[in-house]
Amino acid sequence: MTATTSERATAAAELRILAICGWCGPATVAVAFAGWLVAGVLPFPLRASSTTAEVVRFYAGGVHVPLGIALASVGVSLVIPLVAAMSHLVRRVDDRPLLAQVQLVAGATTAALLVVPMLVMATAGFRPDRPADLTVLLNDLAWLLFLTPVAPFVIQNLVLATAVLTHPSSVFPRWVGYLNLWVGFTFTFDVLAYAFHTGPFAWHGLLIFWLALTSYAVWLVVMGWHVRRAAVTLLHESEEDR
Amino acid sequence: MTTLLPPGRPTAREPRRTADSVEGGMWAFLLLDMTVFALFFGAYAWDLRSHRPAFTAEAASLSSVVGGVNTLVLLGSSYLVVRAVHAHRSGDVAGTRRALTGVLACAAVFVGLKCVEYVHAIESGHGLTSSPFFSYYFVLTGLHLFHVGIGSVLLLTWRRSLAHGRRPASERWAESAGAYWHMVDLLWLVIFTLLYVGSHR
Amino acid sequence: MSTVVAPRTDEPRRALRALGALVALTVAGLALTTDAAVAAASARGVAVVGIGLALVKVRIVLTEFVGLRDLPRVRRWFDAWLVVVGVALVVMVVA
Repeated sequence: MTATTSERATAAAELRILAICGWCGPATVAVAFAGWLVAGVLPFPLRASSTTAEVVRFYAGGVHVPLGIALASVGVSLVIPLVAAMSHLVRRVDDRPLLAQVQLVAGATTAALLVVPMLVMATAGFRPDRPADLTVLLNDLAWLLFLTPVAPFVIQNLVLATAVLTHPSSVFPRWVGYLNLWVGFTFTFDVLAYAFHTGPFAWHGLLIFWLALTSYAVWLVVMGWHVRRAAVTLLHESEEDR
Repeated sequence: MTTLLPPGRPTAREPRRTADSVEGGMWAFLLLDMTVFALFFGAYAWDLRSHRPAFTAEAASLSSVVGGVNTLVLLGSSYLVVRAVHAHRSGDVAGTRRALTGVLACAAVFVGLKCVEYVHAIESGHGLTSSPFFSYYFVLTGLHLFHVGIGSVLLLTWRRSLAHGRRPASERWAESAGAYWHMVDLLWLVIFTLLYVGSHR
Repeated sequence: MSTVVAPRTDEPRRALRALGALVALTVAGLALTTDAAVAAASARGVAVVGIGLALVKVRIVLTEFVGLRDLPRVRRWFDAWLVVVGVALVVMVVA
């Protein structure tokens, strides 16, 4: 089979897009963290036990709060190209189309559930002069929406692990499959944030916010790196075929 | 690569252990999983320092006999998993199934006793957020119970693969499921000590 | 490629001995919860001895049941986990 020059050019362009999708993984971390730092969500987020006055003061803190949250909402959206690229790479070698499809749907849902809480936070900061209780309500809503709807992401992890560990010629190394199982596990108990206002199981706690933040960042960097690497490898292969 | 012999065939092969039967990725997964649990243990020990009298008073309401029996049940199940892996490696399908049935029975006893304990604790007015000690009690044992569930599904899948006309699970798969079950066991050893022994007055 | 280590037929018997040791250590651990033990040591002493016993049991499970005695490279990682977790727990309980 010989490919025409234009077909080869199209394939190479597609692989360059794939590499960019890979870069979106670490970019998600960088841009979202930058946004949260600007807004003051990081290094120390509002607590589930924060007083009404503290919550109101945070959102009335100045224009850097909505700006930082806007930047973070762009950051968390950068996961979308990565999710699409992972489905593409799974589908490339795997003749089980459902795995790639479930990954895509679960990943898209996760992305939506990360963007929405940013919008709710922005809404909370939109009218600092509204009754304080409403700001507290919006803040609770934003944080619980942000951390507790973990099931779509856990499904995504399980599907990726299945695709990697049960296919002999998966693009991703096998340890990435095990990594997905572990990252999924670190998210399972985030639902505890519904029940606790203080301690390590509250939304701002070590085992909820900080553990999930760490494992999600590791996941984004590792998956992004391997998507990019797969793109580079495929590009080299297509050049050698010439 | 070693594979399980077809069922029914008498085997002359000695069971053997291959250095790469469980992959590095699986070991790393187990270690990281245990590390997450270690963070829970650390949080517990940290709060034990600041609420020692309350913790010891409430720990006394747990039955260390039930906890101790559950420990013995899990230790027995772990031993049976060793038997199952050994039988699987030597191609002894009937022996593997028997041992796995035993493990699953132990898991059922463990879950049953845990439920009895939960009912007792809840009837005595304790709950997930009733006090720091019982928060840890329900979270630690609940998360562990979740692992017992996952482990049971893995063992059940392994056992089903040995049914007539199915492709038996690979040796690596069987050993990985076994290693997962041992982790469930050893995590309980620490949880049992922290909640039932170490906090005792 | 798989490296085949010497065949093992004594495995179930070794595991049974390990089970015996684990049961004995568990009973010893339960004895710690009696009033006599707490009177002899202190609540903290009991906690430290209990943690020590638990970690010994964990190591037996790892070497004998999981089979890490044949895999020294993997065992080192788990041993490191045991040391870090053990020291951290004991320090927090005693301090």
